[in-house]
Amino acid sequence: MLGKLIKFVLLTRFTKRLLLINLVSLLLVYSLGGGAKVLPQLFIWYASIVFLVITLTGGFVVLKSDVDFLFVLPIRRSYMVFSLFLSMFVAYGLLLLYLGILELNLIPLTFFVLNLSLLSVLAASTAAIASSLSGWKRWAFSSSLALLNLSSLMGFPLSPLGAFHGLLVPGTVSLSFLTLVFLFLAYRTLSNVHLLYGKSGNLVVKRPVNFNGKDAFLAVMLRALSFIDIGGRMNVAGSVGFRVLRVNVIQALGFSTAISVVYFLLVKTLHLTSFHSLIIIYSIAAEYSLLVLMSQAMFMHEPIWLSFGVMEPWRFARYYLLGKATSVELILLPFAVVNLLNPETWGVSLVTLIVSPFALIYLASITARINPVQIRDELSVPAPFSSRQYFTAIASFPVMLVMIMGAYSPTLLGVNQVQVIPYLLVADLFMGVPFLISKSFWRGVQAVMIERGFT
Amino acid sequence: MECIRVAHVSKRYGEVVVLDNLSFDIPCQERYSLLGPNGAGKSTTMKILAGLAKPDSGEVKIMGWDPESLEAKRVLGYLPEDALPYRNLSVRENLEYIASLRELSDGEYMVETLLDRLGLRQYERVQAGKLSRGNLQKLAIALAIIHSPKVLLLDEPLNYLDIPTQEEVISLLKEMNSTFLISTHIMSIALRLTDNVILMSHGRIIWRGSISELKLLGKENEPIESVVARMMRGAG
Repeated sequence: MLGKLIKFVLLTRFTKRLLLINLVSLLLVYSLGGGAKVLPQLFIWYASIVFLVITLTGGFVVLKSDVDFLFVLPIRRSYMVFSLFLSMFVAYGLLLLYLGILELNLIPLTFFVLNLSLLSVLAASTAAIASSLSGWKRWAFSSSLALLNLSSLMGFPLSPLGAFHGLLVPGTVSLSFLTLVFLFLAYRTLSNVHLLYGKSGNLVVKRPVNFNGKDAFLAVMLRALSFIDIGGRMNVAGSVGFRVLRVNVIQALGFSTAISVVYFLLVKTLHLTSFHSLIIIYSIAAEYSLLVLMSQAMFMHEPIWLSFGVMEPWRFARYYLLGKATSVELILLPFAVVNLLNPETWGVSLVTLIVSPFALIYLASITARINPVQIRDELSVPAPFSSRQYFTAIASFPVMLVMIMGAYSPTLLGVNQVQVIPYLLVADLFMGVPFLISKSFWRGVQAVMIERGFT
Repeated sequence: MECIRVAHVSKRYGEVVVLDNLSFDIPCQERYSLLGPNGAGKSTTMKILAGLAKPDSGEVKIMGWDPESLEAKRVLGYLPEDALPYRNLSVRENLEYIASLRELSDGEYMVETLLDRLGLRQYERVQAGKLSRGNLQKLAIALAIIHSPKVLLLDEPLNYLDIPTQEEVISLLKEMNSTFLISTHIMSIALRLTDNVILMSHGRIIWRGSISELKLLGKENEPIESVVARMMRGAG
């Protein structure tokens, strides 16, 4: 029975075609970047972030079909959870393999395979353990593990990621020991592990927004400046869904300030200024990713029977886009400030200050017109992959181009930053302003949304 | 005066004809239900009346205004089928936000009244996305009527509601002095909330009249649902 169950659970998540695509992609990544000079710190950062996310979310993600059909079968819960544990092991293994494949240039194959396998078991065990923790215990567990992981950067021999920073044998021994301990603890909690499906997160809004007495423009601005929606397609252990989170803007600002300070200190203390080209591209990529996530989320939760039903679509869109552009500017402000402190990254700062708000307006508008998606249920997939997604991706290239050119031009062209500003402003004019004034564009958006089943 | 006017409206989605030269008027303060089988075009008619979809041809007016105009939006209340409020806002935030978007002078009073009338007070700080389907429907009804609309379009308004809440909603709606168009599959809802019926099938009107006239079409002791089903089959 257990064997059949494991086979069923694995095959419902990882089809042969999906595994084949992964294999080809991994070979492609390795063959393209196989000879590349790799920063060993990168994998340690990536793996630490993966573990942080695992501990904070805690538990195993299950499919709707599991809830509807599998869990009602007369099968022991421990068998069920064990098969899910194996599926999480495969999922985390694949993720870590993608993130760490280029580490093969740095460490021998045997150590690479051994360490990555152990890390995957450790990740699945961590998910099981974290699900039994709540509140401050989970935060303490999560921070301790993050510190232990990151300590390998300082050469701490007991860090589980030590093998990826020159400590091959002690790192592997530490990882093996920690994996055994976590596996034992996970085994004890396995029958109580939380299966994540459906409604999650806080039920009650802790800091409610008071809209009383505001006019329409102020109400939309207040909503945009009180919290941001960050959303996108997620795929954990084969469970695909769209999620949108309500994140308080003040908290987001605090978080972005902390990240900016850490980023600034890292650049200074690790003397990464010689990698300034790499820093610029990573900064721009991170900023662009945030803008894409925010633009995708903007209309995912928008009930158009209310927003477009109360006022004309173009008027609502204008208020809403201006509000969101202001909130993104606020959140990214700390990045702009720390980048101003480093002459090598002044270009990035200009992009953050001048381009990002208009880039968000552009990205949100084209997403709304080409491929709008409305979430009707958490963790459900509201729309299958379609060619429209590729059109959206193609249409978003101009933003990426403006951001890269804006960030590099002061350094590469050796021009004064002030000389770049007019060009960026002209780019803003073309990227953002048409969507703020066009009435017919938003009438078109409304028509597409209705056709795609928005309510 | 007609509060709702639909004249020769046609609508296609690709090759599918959803509305085929549809015409009807509803005088102000009268209450009509729109009955029809799945795919009859009821929801599309409601979306066009709400100004969310445009007809391919024909004319639609809400109290003499184009449904897309701000004037029409001010007097119109619309509840779609399976309506979703703002999932990331709490119940109270949803009500206050819509009251502010509509710039209501009595917004605060309406929020408090609706929280109490629809039994939403205990959930006022709960995120709408975390509500049960029944409570979500109550919130959606509150959002649709918060501005005391003169014309009210309701698509399956009593879906998901328990019997006591259905009674509360029916009593709340009956107190309103609005023109109603209620789209429903359920005959008992039409009987409780409206006095007149428009029967639709394949995007066309197949019968129109008062509920008492509809009852007269039946044989002795024949349930009204059976009469409607017979008429719909006849139209198919």
